[in-house]
Amino acid sequence: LAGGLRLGGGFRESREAVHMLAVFVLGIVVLSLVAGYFYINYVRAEQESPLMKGVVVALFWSETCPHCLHILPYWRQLEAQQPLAAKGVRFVDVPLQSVEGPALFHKYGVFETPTIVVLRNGRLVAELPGVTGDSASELLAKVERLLSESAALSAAAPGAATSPPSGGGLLALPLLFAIGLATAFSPCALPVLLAYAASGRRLNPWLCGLSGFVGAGVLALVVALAAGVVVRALVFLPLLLSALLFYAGVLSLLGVEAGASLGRFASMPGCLMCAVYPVLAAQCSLPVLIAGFAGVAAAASPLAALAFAAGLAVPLGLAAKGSTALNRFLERRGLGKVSGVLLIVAAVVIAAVYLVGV
Amino acid sequence: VPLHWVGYLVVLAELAVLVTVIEALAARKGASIIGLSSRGRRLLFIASMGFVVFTWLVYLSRFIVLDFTLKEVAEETSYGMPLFFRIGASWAGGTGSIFLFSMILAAIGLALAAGRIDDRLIAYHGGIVLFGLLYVLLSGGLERASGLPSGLNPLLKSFWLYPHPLATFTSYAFIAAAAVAYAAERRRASRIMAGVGWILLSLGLLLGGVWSYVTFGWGGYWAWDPVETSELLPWLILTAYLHGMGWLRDSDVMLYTSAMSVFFATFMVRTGLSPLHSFAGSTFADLLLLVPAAVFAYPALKGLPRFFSSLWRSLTSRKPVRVALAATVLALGYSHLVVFASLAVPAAIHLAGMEASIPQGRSGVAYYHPLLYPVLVVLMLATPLCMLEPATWAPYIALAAGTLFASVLMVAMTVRGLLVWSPLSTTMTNAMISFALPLAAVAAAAAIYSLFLNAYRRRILNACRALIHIGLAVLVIGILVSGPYAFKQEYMVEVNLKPGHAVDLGGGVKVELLGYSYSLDTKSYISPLSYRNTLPVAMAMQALAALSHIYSMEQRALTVGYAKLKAHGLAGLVDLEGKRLHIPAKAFAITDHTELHIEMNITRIGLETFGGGHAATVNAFPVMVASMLIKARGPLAVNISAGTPLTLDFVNPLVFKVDDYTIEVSEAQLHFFNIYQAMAQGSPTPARIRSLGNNTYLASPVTLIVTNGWIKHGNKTLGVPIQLSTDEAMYLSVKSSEAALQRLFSNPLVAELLKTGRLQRIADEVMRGRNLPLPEKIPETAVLHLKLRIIEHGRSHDVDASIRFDANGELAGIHGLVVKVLPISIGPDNIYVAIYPPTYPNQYGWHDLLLYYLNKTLPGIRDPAKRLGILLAFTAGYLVDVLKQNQQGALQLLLQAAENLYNVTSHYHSIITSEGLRIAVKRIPMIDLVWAGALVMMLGEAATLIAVSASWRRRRGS
Repeated sequence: LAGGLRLGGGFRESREAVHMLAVFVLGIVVLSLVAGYFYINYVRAEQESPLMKGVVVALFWSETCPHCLHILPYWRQLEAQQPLAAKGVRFVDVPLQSVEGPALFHKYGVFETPTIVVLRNGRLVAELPGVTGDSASELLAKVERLLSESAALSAAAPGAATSPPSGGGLLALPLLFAIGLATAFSPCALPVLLAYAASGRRLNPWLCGLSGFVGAGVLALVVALAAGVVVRALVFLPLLLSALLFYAGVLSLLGVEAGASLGRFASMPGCLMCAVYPVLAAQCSLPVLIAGFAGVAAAASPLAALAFAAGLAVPLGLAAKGSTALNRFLERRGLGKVSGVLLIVAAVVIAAVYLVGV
Repeated sequence: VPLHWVGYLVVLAELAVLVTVIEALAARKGASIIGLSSRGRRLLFIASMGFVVFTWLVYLSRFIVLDFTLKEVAEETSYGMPLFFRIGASWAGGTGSIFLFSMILAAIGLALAAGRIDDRLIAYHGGIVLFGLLYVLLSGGLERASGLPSGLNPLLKSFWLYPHPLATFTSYAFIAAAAVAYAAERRRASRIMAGVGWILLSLGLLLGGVWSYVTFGWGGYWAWDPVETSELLPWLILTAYLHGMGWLRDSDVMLYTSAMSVFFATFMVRTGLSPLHSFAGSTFADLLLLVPAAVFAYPALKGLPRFFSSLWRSLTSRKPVRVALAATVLALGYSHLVVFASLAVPAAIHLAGMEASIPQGRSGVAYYHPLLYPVLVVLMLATPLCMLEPATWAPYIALAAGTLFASVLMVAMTVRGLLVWSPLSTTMTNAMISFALPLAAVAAAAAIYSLFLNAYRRRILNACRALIHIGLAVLVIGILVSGPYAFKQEYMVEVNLKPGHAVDLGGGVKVELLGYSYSLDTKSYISPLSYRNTLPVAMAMQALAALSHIYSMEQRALTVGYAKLKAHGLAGLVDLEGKRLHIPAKAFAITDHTELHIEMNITRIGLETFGGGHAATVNAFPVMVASMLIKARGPLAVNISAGTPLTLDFVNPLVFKVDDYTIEVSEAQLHFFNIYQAMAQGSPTPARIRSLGNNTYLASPVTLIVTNGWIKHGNKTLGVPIQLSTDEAMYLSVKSSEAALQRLFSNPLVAELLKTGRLQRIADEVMRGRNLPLPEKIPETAVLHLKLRIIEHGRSHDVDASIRFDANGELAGIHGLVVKVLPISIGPDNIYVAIYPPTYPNQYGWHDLLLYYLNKTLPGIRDPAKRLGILLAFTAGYLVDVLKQNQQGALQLLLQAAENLYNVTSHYHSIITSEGLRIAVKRIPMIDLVWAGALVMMLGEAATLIAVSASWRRRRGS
């Protein structure tokens, strides 16, 4: 309890930090809304286009080019027959005079019409500008030669190349566990728990750990399920997660604690206190806590929610046991700096994973 | 120059203001000229300001009654103009806009005089009105004029003629008044006027953007046009002032700079350096606008050193809010300097008589964006500090670090290609958007948070300020996302809209043309005679003179040359157009010794010279246009393609008869295009070549030029190439390449003038400096009415739209077509649709509405000379850009085009059914945030002003 009250001196600073944190979270939400809206309506609309999947042979043409109009009927014939479907090759055409036309011409650097472009998962592998032909079979022969020259078919099986950024798959579980741990190591809440245990009131370590697990787990599950519904709109959540962790790291390095004193929780029954520990921890670990929930939301899976809750529960059990080692660990000076650096490293790792798209 | 009587009234008003100012100045020195008491001086001020307002009303009345003897009225109105535009026209010109400014300033003076007013304010305020009126007098708009109206610029003839200019000039007046009120130590009046000035100036900028967006049809709202940039100039420094006033010592420097920028902006409009807002070229009177600019620059420069030292003290004070505000002031001040330099330096060079251009459009983006981007970053980073006013740095540092981290992440995503904002922009531009967006989002969040926090704490003033900054952040987000899409025309897709077909515009929106009709406005007329000094009319005059000259020259070539050809025995071979001749398959070899069999259907035979030169004789070659079947013995080593001609070497000469000529071909060149079409249009359209398999090709149209062979006629035998005299060659060239001119001579309009010898007389007169014959008045406007159905996600609604064509735009060389712009909102995005009339499918591309207009108007002009004059003037106006590029052949081109225009227009029928309307469409993301953000900013400042004056009243009450 004394550990919790120790922080009362920096109250104003701490309240300003809460305002700033609220602003930051709100800002990231605004950013996610703007970027998410744009992403869904502009970026993904393009990514979901048939050009982005598998091996595609596209004829880029223009209404104003007579040669294009000459070969277009033959090409349409190929599109109708799809003679290379067995090899996983699709025939499509991209007119310049269409809503997405100019952007696609620009993207693949097509300056001449007609041009045949071979794409694998949306990436250009070969092109044949100024193509001519007087029959579908002649065009097909040219396409087959182009395919064999470019070795578009020989490489590995098709998969999404520029897939929407993901939360990082398997890496997410240990990461969320770690964030749970970091949340639990709230420098103002954990000492309260330790003092509570030391005061001799009955506090079963297992029960406390389990209560914490259930408390955090229920919350996290709700977040995970809710996120599952709206996850399509939340493609930028990993960004939110890493930015929040980075922010928390800087706060920790500067020795600022974002939170208000919630000492009255100390009078609660033990199990209840363990169950609401995430709220209690928010006193000083609010950014990390939000990052944890954001991570759960990003992964949008119950497993991720449980990993996060488990990470949170372990220190609770230890604290309930009244571990002196834990106590000593917490009283170590420079802990804030170490955790600050760790949080920043975690932020950078998440960002890197997000960007590389593991 | 004789003044119109309104001009003398303005002279009187000017004298009244002068007396008022001198008396007030004298009173300050303890003297007096006409011995008025302080109350008397106040009454004199009220009287003179009232007189200025009265004079303006009289000036306005001249527009309402369409008194064309006043030059400004003649230049901006037309016969039968509706009242709405007559009133608006009063501020559409260079004189009228400053008169409006002076009148508003005088009205503000009246309002100020309602309270306490001292001699200093009388002298200062009267002083600016004095300058304004002096400009009005000297700018030439009040001179007496011929009484012939020119009509209003077509782009101005819309609802938008009111809001943008009124907001802009009212704001200019308020800013100038705020500066003098501050100098006269009327601080509170100055604060309110600066605030009102800021709101109206922001409104003016916004409305200018909206006007551009809904009028020009390219989808942009800002293009760094020098006049837009000029209006931004006072906004930047006035915004800096609003951030510095009250706490930063000597911040009034910025208010004086704002007033200086206002006059500088009005001067910039008149330098003619802007393509969008050009009034007449700069005159001596325009330089006069630099005098008040200099007057305001004086106190600004004098206070500058002290201002900088106090700014420096604030920047180094380490108090978060103080530093943030000082950084904002510094950033805005710096941007003012950048923008000012970009305008003032070219303007100075221009005044010195040298070529200069201001960065604008794409060059404006390249110049301003890198220089001003850091300002955006500073402003966005400073906003959370100003909004939350923390006492310590640490929480803010974490916020800024987290935000910048998010920015770096976004940039990384953009560079990786995961989040590309504008695919048609550079990676750099996309990275700049990505970097700024998190900053703007956090600024928005800070402002939103601050709004609620301060509203909760009942700190109304702070809540109002938060509202302004919410608007700012939303505006910035809107600009970041929509900017490249709005600016770049490359995003435009052109589609055709034919009646009865629904066209997909993307985003789930379809449009359908239900019906259309045309009308000619029979109420409004303009006088073409008032366009004597414009480029199109000048070109039409030259063309008319050239027409007569060419006629006399070509008639000689045609008569003499033809006589010689006849004697030569070649007259019958010159141009056998439409002579159809089938030539069965003949064997011949081509350069790689492959044997070919050709079979051709000849559609035209002629004799042509190539190259020419100044030699005494010219080589001529028989030429045949045909469709051709080519069978090769075995695969060809050469490509049969449009680009490369084939040299044909006949194994046995190809012999055939045309009329009484026998042509024997032993060597020829085969070109895969129609040479006559290529000569007429300047560029060849490649032949269609179809491969029939089995080494057989069908090509059409091709041109066979006989390079070696014989021509037999009667008992004469001529070797190819045929040697022709220059007269004969001249005849050939007139006959083929100038066929269009020949048609012009036989055009009924011209033929009539030629027959009576009138064309030659008019040409002589024009050469001697007389004017082009033009009708006294012609209808001003033709309109194409459209009934459109917009279908959005299954729901449909009908829209009436109209496309307008104004004759005066064409005559002035600025084009008379006003396209219809139809922005369709989808969430915060717009589907931007610009609808154009179809263009006639020939090389000139006349638009349908021009053809309709001339079809209805030309027959009404009795005198064929005037009809020809107006036809040439319209042709020159329509093709003015092309003609400016082709200085060499401009007149020839103009004459040929006029002939074509006459023909097309006299056989006019609407081409909408066959060609369809032209629709340019693009989707612009989040454009509505731009308008919404700007509006919220203005609302916020208005609320702030109300809160400020309420707090003053409370303080006075207590």
